[in-house]
Amino acid sequence: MRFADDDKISCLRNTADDIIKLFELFCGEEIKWEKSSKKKGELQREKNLLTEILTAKYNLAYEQVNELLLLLNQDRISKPFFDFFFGPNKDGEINLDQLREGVKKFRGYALLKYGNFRFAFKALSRKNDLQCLLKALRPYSYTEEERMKCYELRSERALNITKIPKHKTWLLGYLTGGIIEKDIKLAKELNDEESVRCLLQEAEEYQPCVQTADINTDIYMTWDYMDVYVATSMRGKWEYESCYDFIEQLFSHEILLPLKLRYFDPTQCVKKSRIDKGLLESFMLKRADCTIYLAQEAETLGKDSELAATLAQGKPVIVYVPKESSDGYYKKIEDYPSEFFRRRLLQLDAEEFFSEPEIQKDLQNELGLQSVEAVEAFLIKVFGVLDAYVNARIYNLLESKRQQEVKLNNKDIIDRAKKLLAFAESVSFERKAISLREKHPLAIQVNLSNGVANGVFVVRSIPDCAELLYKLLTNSMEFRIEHDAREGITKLIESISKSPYRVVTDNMKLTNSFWNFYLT
Amino acid sequence: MEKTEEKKAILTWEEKHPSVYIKDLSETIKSAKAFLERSKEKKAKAQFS
Repeated sequence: MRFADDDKISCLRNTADDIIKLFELFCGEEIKWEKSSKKKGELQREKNLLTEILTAKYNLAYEQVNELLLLLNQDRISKPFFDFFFGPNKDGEINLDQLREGVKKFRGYALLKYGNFRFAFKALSRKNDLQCLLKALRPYSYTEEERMKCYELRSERALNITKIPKHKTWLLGYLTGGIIEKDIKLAKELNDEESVRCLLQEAEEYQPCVQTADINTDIYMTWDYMDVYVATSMRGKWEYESCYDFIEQLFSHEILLPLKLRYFDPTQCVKKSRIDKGLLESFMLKRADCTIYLAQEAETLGKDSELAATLAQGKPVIVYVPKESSDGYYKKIEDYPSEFFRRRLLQLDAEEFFSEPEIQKDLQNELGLQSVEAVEAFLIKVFGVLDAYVNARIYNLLESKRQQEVKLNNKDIIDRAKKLLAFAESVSFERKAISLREKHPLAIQVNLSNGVANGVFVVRSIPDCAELLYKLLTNSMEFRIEHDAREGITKLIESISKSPYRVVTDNMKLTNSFWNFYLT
Repeated sequence: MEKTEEKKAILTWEEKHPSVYIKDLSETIKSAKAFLERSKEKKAKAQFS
């Protein structure tokens, strides 16, 4: 773990006032000389003593650091604590840089493990044995080498899942069986031989696919450990395939291969009932060390609950919000069914997305239209065509002849509707990332067992996701400690995701009430 | 064809929110196969008559 800061510590110099500030940041409380030294002269006398130590000594030994602490009315620290955080030279001394770096390191670990500077100082400074100190800081005290060794020594799985190919994964959707059944029933009623033949093929693929996925679920339950849970929401074929691609690309990334990770892949399993599915997913969330949450076009109760359950256990959540340009996203969704476009455009319209002045301006450029009125007229036309397409539907899984006609006769409008949606989704993903990184209050939740605030990491690319996952699992993350005076909080910002992983509030009332219910 | 297209396989609320997720489609498969077999026989009969 590496910790940098926002210069709050680095800028402190070798003066009495700055050293007092440094020790306030170290001990997690204001140094109240005014109260303890009632007479003005006494305060100056103590400051003079502090200056005397600082000017007389360039380097400080362990005992001298403790003498400084006592002078500042603070508790002494143990030798293992001094060695671990300050890393003295061979003479057992530290210079001012090491003192500042040690305070930074301590504050970083305090945020990670305790979410509280004062309690961390009280708890850790008294550890008289290095092993006890390291134990108290677990899992963050394991080095990258120690973590890597554990991963590399892992054995192969006794049982492996049978991979279901990408194009068949949608068959595992909880509605798929019912849809096939309903479509076949109607096709028979309509005496539609061609459709019955097509649908029969789907039904015949469904049965073995579901059986394989059911066995895969059993195999997941036997695995002795689980590293990653993938939280996603899948209904349509495109969602299954997009999730499949993400998982394939992420876990085949070269940085992750040596770790021999085991992950719960939701595109490869199924459970018989809603109760079994709920229990299974809760069980997997309990077992996995972290969750990767896929931000999609729309979020669901299930996926959001999985995020919350992970954070409440004090485990990390990486949120992957794809960074899509309009053109890139257009290519991705070009072949999605028209019903997808209709549903998403209706949702965005209901959120008044298309009524926002800046969006209207961008839309004019995107669609080559001259005025706001022209954009509105175009939207009405788009919804008219997409409604006609949906109204011409007979089956859920097959496109009717009338639907094909609507598509053919309105090819240009449908294509522009796709471009419109591609633009809207690229903006929507951007906003989602900002919201989760900087705005949403529940992007930071609390570990219910110890009160440590636990924030989500937001990443925008698969390589970033892989690198962060590696660093997370091997304790090699880099952080920056920042104080945000506007919000009144100290944040521990992770360097790849630029997301706050831990926070401490300046609010005294909230701090006191909050910790009264956690540190009992 | 226009007339028959008025029928649509729209899912009911109950069907959209099932409590059992794995369907046994063996009966559906059997009946679809029987339907196709009957169609085949009908076509064959029509050819010979």
